[in-house]
Amino acid sequence: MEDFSLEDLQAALASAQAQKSTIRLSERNVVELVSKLQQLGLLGDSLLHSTSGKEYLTVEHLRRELLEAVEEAGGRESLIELAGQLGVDIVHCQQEATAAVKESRGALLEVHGQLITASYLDGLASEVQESLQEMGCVRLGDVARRFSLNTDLVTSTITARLGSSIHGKLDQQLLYTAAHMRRIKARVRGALAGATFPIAASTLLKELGLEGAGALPGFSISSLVEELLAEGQLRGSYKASTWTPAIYQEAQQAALHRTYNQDGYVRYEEAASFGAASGKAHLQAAFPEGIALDAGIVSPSVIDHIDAGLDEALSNSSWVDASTLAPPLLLSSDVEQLLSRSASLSKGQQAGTHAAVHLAGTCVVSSALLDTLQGKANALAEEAAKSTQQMLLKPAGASQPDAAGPSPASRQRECSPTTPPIAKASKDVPDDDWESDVKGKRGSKRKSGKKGGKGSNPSPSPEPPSAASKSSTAARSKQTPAQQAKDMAAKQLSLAALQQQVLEWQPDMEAAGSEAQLASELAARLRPAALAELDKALSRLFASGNESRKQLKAQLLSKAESEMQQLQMFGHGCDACSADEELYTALQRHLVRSTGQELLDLLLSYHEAMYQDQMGMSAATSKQEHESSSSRPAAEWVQLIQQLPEDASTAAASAMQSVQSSSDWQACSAQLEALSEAAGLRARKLDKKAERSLVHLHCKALQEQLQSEENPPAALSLAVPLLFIRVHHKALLVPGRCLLGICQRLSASLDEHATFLLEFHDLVVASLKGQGASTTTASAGTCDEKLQQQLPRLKVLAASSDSIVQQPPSISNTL
Amino acid sequence: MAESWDSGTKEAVKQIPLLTSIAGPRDKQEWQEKRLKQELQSLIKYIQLNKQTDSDWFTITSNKDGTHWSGKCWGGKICLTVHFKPLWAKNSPHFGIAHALCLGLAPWLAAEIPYMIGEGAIKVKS
Repeated sequence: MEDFSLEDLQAALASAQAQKSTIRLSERNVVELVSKLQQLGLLGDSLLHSTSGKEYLTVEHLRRELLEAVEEAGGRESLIELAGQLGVDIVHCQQEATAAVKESRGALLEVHGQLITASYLDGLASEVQESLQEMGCVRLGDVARRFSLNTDLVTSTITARLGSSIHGKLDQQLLYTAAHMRRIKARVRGALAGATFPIAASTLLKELGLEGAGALPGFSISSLVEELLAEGQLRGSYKASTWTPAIYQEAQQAALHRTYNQDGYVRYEEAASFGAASGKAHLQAAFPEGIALDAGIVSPSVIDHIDAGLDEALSNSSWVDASTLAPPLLLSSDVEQLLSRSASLSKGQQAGTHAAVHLAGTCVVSSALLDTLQGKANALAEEAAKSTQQMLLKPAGASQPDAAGPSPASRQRECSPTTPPIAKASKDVPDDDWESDVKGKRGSKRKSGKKGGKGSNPSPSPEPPSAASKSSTAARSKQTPAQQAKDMAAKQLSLAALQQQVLEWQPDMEAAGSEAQLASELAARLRPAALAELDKALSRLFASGNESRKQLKAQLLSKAESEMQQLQMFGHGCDACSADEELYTALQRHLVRSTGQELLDLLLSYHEAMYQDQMGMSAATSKQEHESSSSRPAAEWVQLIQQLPEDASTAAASAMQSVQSSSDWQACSAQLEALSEAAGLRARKLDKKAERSLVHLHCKALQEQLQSEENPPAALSLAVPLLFIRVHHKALLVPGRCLLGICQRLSASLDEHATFLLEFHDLVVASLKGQGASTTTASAGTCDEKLQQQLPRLKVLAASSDSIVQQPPSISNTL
Repeated sequence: MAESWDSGTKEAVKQIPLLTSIAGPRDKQEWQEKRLKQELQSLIKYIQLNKQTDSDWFTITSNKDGTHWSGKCWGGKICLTVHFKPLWAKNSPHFGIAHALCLGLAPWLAAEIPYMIGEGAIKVKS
């Protein structure tokens, strides 16, 4: 090119520009051209263009391509997929598919937007046939689901090919083979034959994995069972869709008979578990010899067993609860029925011997045991009578036992025959109110002493148990002591108390009998006789009390008279010392405190006996009271005084006041005489002859004691009264602190012995002081030695007084 | 700048012969003997290419010395001073008038003409 000149090149440029451009059509130009040709009708109506718009095709070509694509896809393809694959609008595809289906005469189908060829359906049928041969049963629904086809198409496809490509039976959407049916029947037959217990048909099929077999046409388990039963291949029964094998029924019957033979009974409740649904009727049919009860059927051997137990109990004089002999779990009514059939009981009843008593439904008590218990109950009644009477004898201030309100059980335990509870308590707690026994139940105590102030009604009427029943209280206050005693004792023999007592006697009876009623029924049976025994015991005790009381009163009277004389005797002795006022007062005070107090006790005891006489109480108790009268505290006497009649009460209060505070024996004596007169006693004045006789007796007694006495102080206390009698011819009670005064008084009359007596007294004082010191001194030892040496002389001196008494000198006598 | 060309433009510019002579109109001899000749040769080649692809879009002529050029394109004109200076500086001396038309005026026309028609600034002669 460089060889060209510039001009050539410019000319070449001009020529190049002058050349005509090559004309070239773009795709768009072509599309526009084709569209224009179509508009002009030059290309016909069968020309289609692709979705890209760059390709044009005829409908024949599209149909051919559609069929080829379906074949390539295995005979089944959706139109949407085909449209995508061919790049043609789906509308054109649908039009051509519809036309192709029409022309195919059944070789091509359009189903729900899919093109399916006949060869595809042939393949489906062959697959179904394979499954059928393998499984024996195919559900069309499963096939439809597997191939994503509707059931109608599958059904029509299968139906069309039955007998050709598919060998089986189609019924109710289920395709199965005859071999399959035979297999199912064989399995069901085997399962039924092997069953050992009832099984529901549905359960059986489920366990065999044949849930769908019930839906098989021509398959019915009931008809199959009937068929097998008829052929004798199975034994059993088929009811209510449940197969019960014969072996099971036989085993149940065997178990039922085994239980009956072994236990002797079968309960109706258990019968159901043995397959006997009808219970009682079934058992009665199965065991005709059995005894039908409320709860079950019992073998007659059970009655023999009960008879043996009853015989043993009766021979041992014991009792037995038949429910322990009868089979367990039977009702009480059943045991009663069995007892009613017992030969042991019926024999006794027929013979009228009544060797046993039927109580509390299921219990039998031998007559011997019953008699023993009746004896104990009677003894208890007697004790109750005694304790009640003793309680009534107690003064109103005395306490009732168990004032704190013990439990009924504990109170009853105290009511044992050996220790009557009330008697025991009266000893233990004498200061409490005996009436509070009944009050104690409501937790309060009330002194009944207030009643003593009324005077008109001194009887210690016990309070009723219930405070609410005031009318009852009033009625009781009007009762006689005997009636009160009976009521109180009857309380101790209440049904509950007696029941408790029976359980103490026979602890094994607790919870025995129907509803644990044995103890209660036994108590009810024992009670009437026990109450009758109580009446008898009370009558006996009150009758025996009158005679004893008379003897007691006579004894008291005798003692009181004796004490009255002694008081006067010693009083005269005191009067002999009236010159020394201090000594006189001390002597009188001692006399009043000792002899006066004893006399007062005797007189009050006499009054008490009179009071009890009026109340009708037993003498035995009164004796006991009298024996302990000397030690009774003043408080008891005060309570007794409050219960006495008014005149006696006043006299007794004055006498007690005098004894406790007076230092004048004559004044005290007058009060005591008034008290004795209130009791109807006439106190006799002590004449001189009688006094001498008394002094003599007193002197003798003192001398006897002195002779045997080796203790110097005691010997001195005996010797001084003896010497006083020798000098003054009067008896005197000398307290220890008055010994010196009396000795000094006697020294004037004892001449040469006076010094000895005073020295002896000093030695005794020194000896006692020495003994009182913490350490024994040498002087105390010396005193004891001297006293022992001089003791014989003292005895001789005192003994010599006897002659003096025999010939008394004339002395002034104040009396 | 290079990214703004379409693939057609790039293909076209590759087919335009590159220039080798470094000379301008003031270099009388070198210009007339070499550079002007190379310019004309590349223009001829470019015009031929356009004719072949049915995309002829301009005419151009020069005076005898090649110092004054005139022509017509189908629409608009191009500024080849500041805007294309980096390109020319980078490809000197290889790019000539033909390259300037191909890379400068042609894309500009392709972008601006439809816009101007849309605005009504120019109208198609029918």
